[in-house]
Amino acid sequence: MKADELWKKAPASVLTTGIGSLPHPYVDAALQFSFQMNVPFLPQLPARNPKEFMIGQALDRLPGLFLEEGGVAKIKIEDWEKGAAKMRETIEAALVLQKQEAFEVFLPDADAWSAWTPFLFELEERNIPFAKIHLAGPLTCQWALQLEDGTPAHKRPEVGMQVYKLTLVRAIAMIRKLCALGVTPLFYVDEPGFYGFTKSNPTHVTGLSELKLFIQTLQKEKALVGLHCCSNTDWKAVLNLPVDVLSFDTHLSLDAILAQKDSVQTFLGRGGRFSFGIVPTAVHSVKIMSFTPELLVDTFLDSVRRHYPEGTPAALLKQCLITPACGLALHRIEDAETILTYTLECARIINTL
Amino acid sequence: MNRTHRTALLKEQLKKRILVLDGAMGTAIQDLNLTAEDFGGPELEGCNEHLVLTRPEVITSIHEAYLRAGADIIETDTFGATPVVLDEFGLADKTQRINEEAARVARRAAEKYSTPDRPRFVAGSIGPTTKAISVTGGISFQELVENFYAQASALYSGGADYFLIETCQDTRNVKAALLAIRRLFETEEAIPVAVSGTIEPMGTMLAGQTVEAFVASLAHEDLLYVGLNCATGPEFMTDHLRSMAGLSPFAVACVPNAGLPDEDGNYLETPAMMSEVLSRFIEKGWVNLLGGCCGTRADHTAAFAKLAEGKTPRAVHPACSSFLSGLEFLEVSDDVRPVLVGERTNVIGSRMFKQLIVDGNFEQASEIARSQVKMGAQIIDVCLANPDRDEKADMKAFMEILIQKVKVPFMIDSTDPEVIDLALSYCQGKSIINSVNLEDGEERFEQVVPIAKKYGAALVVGTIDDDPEQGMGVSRERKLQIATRSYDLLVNKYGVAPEDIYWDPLVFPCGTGDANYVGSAEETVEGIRLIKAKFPKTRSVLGISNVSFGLPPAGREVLNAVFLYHCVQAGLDLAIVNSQKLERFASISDADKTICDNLLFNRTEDPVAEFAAHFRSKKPGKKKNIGAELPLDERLANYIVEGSKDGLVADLDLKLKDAKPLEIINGPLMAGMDEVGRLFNDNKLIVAEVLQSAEAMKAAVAHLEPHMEMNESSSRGKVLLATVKGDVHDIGKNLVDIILTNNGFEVINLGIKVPPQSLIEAIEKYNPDIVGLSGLLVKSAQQMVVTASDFAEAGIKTPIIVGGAALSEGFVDKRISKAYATGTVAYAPDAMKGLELAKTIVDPDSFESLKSRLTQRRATAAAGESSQGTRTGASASTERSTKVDVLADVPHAPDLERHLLLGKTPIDQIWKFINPMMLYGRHLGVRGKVVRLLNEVSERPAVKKEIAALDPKAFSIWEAVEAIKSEYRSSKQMRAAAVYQFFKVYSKGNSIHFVRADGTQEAMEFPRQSKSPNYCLADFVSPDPIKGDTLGVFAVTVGSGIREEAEKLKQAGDYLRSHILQALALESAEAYAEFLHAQMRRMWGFGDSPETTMLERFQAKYRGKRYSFGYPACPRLSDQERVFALLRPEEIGIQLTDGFMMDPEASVTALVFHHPQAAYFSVGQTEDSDEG
Repeated sequence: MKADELWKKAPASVLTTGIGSLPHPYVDAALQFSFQMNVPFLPQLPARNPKEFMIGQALDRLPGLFLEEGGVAKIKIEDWEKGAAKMRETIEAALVLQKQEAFEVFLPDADAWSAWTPFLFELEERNIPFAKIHLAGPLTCQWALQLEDGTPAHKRPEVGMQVYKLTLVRAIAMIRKLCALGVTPLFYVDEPGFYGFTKSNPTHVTGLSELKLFIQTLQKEKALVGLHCCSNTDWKAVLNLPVDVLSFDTHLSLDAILAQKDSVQTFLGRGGRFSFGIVPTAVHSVKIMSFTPELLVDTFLDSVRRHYPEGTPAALLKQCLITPACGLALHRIEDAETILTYTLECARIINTL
Repeated sequence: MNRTHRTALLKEQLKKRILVLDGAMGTAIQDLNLTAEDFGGPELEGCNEHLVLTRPEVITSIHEAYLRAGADIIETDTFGATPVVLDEFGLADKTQRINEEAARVARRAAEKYSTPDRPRFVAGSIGPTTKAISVTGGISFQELVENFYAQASALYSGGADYFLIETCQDTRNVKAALLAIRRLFETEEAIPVAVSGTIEPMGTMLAGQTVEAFVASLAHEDLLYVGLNCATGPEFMTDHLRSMAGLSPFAVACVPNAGLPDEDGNYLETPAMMSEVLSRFIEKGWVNLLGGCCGTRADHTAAFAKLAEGKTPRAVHPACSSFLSGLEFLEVSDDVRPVLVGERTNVIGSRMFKQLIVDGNFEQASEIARSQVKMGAQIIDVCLANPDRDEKADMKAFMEILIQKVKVPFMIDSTDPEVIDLALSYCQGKSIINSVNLEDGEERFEQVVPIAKKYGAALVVGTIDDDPEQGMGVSRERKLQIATRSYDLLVNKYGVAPEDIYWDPLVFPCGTGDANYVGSAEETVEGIRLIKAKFPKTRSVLGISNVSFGLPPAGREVLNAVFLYHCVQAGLDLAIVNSQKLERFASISDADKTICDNLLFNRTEDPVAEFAAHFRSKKPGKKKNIGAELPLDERLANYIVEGSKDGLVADLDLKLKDAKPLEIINGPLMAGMDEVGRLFNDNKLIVAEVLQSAEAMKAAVAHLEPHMEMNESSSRGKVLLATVKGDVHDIGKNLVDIILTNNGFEVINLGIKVPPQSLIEAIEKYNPDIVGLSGLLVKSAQQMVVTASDFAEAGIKTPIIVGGAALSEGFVDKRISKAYATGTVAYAPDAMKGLELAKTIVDPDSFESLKSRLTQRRATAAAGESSQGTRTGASASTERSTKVDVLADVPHAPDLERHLLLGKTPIDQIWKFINPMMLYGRHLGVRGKVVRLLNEVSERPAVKKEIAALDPKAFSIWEAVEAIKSEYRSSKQMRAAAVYQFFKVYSKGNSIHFVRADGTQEAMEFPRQSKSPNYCLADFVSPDPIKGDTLGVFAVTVGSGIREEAEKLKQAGDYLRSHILQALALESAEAYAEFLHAQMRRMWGFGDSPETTMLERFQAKYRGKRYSFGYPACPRLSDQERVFALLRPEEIGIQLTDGFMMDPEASVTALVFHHPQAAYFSVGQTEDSDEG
């Protein structure tokens, strides 16, 4: 199915959604937050459990995986070796033999993702046809995972490959679950580790090609695929990825992205959309309160106009998504609620343009 | 007045009005603070029954107090006066005296207060003993009969008006008592008998029967009434009483406790509280008798008498449907046809079962029954008639295990009356005997019918008679003829209820070629139709599998399913089948159905041959392909495209001779990957093949990396990372770690809660270029100041990058940088800025520039910086919302200021309050209407079949939840506790002021919405400080160690159970909150009406609301500290973590408001209509 068809299920106005994590300890409260966006999003709630940190969630059930108290994901290699064959077999039952029940094994577990089934439940109860889900991407997962002594685990290619496959099979399982509910998934691949991409780094080079295949695979599953990267990187390379949505922190990266005018044009030309992280999240909460939605939108528009003095491409704003710049897990709940309010308000203002 | 008259008078009174039973004997005795001497010595202290001998006047006074209060019936002080119980005090030999004297004492009191208009009666109390035979064992069925006989005969002699078998926890005990009483009546004039069961908070009797099953087990008796007593307060009897009233052919009694006891064993429900609930039961027409059990006193009895006065008792209707029971109830009605009878626990029909019995492996044999139930069997057929073995011994051994494993009714399949009698003595419920017939005339009826009546069993009646030519009814007419004769005998001569007759019109093999049975399948189908038409109150049963005997196995289950379909269409009620193998008719192809119909109805020339030829099976196969040979670059690319590693390393080594690793990666290998992407996009590769390509690419890069030049892979610098002392949060630090590592830095991650000294030691050991400090908590910011100060004192000069949510640039500039006079401190608001700073610091020129900028900025700031705004999302207003009324009258809260601890709330009681939408829907992913049905299973076991048919997966999840409940019911992980208190409060602006008994106050401030309706929680409290208001606060928890237990299960690969356990714990805590909230509403005086459904509770459709911190109306989680200060939840094992989370996680705290306009809202809302 073409992306255009999938987008038809999205709300007609400027879309609002959240990025990954929330600070709420209660699933209910987090979902109340999420469902105020016109594209509800699946929240990660690391306040509940370190396993809900992005890497722990994505790699849940990887043999030998253990999480240090603050969420550092490590792998006990001897345990991984003991369980790797079985895990490979299970992944292959899903990806190779395409056994649906094998995919279901990889659906988010309540232990590591407490909001998953409640989120699905709410989607169905509220009859919502379009929603965003989110998973730490295969590159960040491979690069973040460490052996017990702190060595990057991806230095063992067989570990890296299993991490890649695990994130892929989990992503497919999640997408299929939403599709089965009649919900079109907007799937964000979260790749903060993509920062500083350079073609002189072989890990990055292979990572880019792996990411491309990852995205293509998810699109074949009838998902719209977004890439979230809340850092500066080689935007030209990223814009050339076949993503449907590119999500970023506008304060950090808008200028760098719009500077790639040709790539942006190509991206928009093939139906790509930007997910603007307009409301800052990387500053102290008191400082957040010193902004107003109007000021945030004005600052954003000034940047856009600076790059397009001849006139802003219609697709840039009309088809965009508005979000907080990043996940909110490290904020206080009341600040997160304010950021939500600002996000909705910014979208309302942009919608009137 | 003689017995006959008293009995008639009792029955007449029971028809005319609602009679009142007395209150608790034990509570009344306890209130008197008797001494050991009163009981007859220290060794007899606590033997209440002995008081009728040692202090009869005390018991008389208790009886008289209840009679004065208005009791129509007083119970003898003989609850524990069976020999087996008295023997615990060495008083077994006084059984006769104690019971007889107790009856006399009561009789005298009753006579004293009797008037012609208001006769009073004596119930001879027979308690359950201390042995629930199905649960505790320790006594045989016959020994129980003897015990009850001894007690009943003495109570009878003393003058009891009727026997009250009460607080029944195990229906086998009840059956033993009833048999004992029946034996007594063989020699004495019969008096009425009543039975009162106890439904535990888990929703069943202790031995597992549901209330419906319990009533079904007793329906064959002629009882004065059945009832419920003890275990819970009246509120929790509601559903059970409703069911009992709907089903019972007898009068119904309701005799609850005064609520649940608190930690000190005090019962909390006042007469008024109980009356409120009981009055609803009367209004509903559910009761004929009211009374009180544990914790009730004369004032309760007086209240009940007042309540019952002039009220219409429940109308009693005889039962007129077919039902069976095991631990669960099963009504056999047209709605549920066919009821499946599992046939595999039959030594004649199952070789496997037979062998297990021969091997003495009864445990494994009983597993067959369990799996039959799991696969849909609603009744289990039990046959142990192996001619080579002792059937009775096998039945005993098998039943002892089977009753522990299977809840459904049993079909006892034997020709030996003794075996049948023995088997039925193991059944709590109403079973069915398979079978009787007229093969030997009436002999079998004579032998078996009395046993059926003794235990209350139904009968399978085969259409076989004593016709010497053709005993078995093959034709439809013969079947009807035999059934007619049998019916006449059984109903009119032997007194069997038509509803308890299950016809077996016999099934014969249709594929063996036996000429006698050609067309017999159709005759059976039509025979059912004829018999059911003539005897509509009766039921029918067939052993379906016989029809396919001798046919090829591949087609047998298909034929069975088709035959079953036709039989059910004709009216079949019960089908004896192998429920594990039964094909679904709907999934059988039309072609298969035609072949089967041809055989069943003999429609073609040779239907047997046609059938055998049709059911032959085949199996499909599969194959795979590989790649090709090409020049080096193309070959390298092709390794990737083909996902092949064979020869890859050799070709890479070859290529390394004339190219650098990066050139190879970015050249042919990436070309291969691009091609993979293109092919995949064009659907020419599938995911599995793409993954093979990615694996090949990874292998290639791994081989090339060690060949990279030093400058391609050398470290940019060394960074020491740590989360500071006292802080466990390091998501930010981890991100920095990832980013730095992937950008050429060597990172030494010291982890969390790192004290300054450890950092100093690590700096000395590793000599890093940069130290990165992270922390989330506010106190971490202070800790960074301390750490920086210690660094300075230790003479360390290493540049520091600090980051974390609690920091601001200003704080770093003003506080941390000042503390670190020896070095540079830079602030990284996020991980990416951290990397920028790291790159800057390791570059000497850039670092100098950075230092200069920082110094300049800090100097400027110190000279006179401007302050930042401190706007908040919520309103700064303290003006009360105009949308909330100030109540003229606020409800009084009982036990104001009393710190109430609950540690004995049964977990089953709590589980009743679990919201199935949350547990099954939101946590376990069950969808659709089946979620609501799952909630009905405990009340309507029959709904299981519907669920199993509607959504087998949901059903299996329900079973898994039930299994987890069983496993953890008594575990420490599921131990529930609560603490709650009502406080005197008033509001002032946005604050609620808590006024303590000593006059001291504490205020709690809440945010207010910035837009209409401008709600703030304080608005729901009266602002009048003089009159004040009341507010409830509670904390509940459901055990501890759930997460660890779940982790263990997960590590063992038991993901589903791990998931269920956690979900169950969390929802149990929520359920406990719901439960306690309901209790608090009642204490306030506005308890839920009996019509209030759980769904309405879950939708908060009651007066007031409860709020927890972290939710939109009061989002500040840190305010949990205030709740902890007020309520001390630590007393029930709840701890507050650094991040203000509760440990155990399955805990809930809440503020409970009674204001009718209290609504859920968000302080950060953007719309005006966010109520409810």
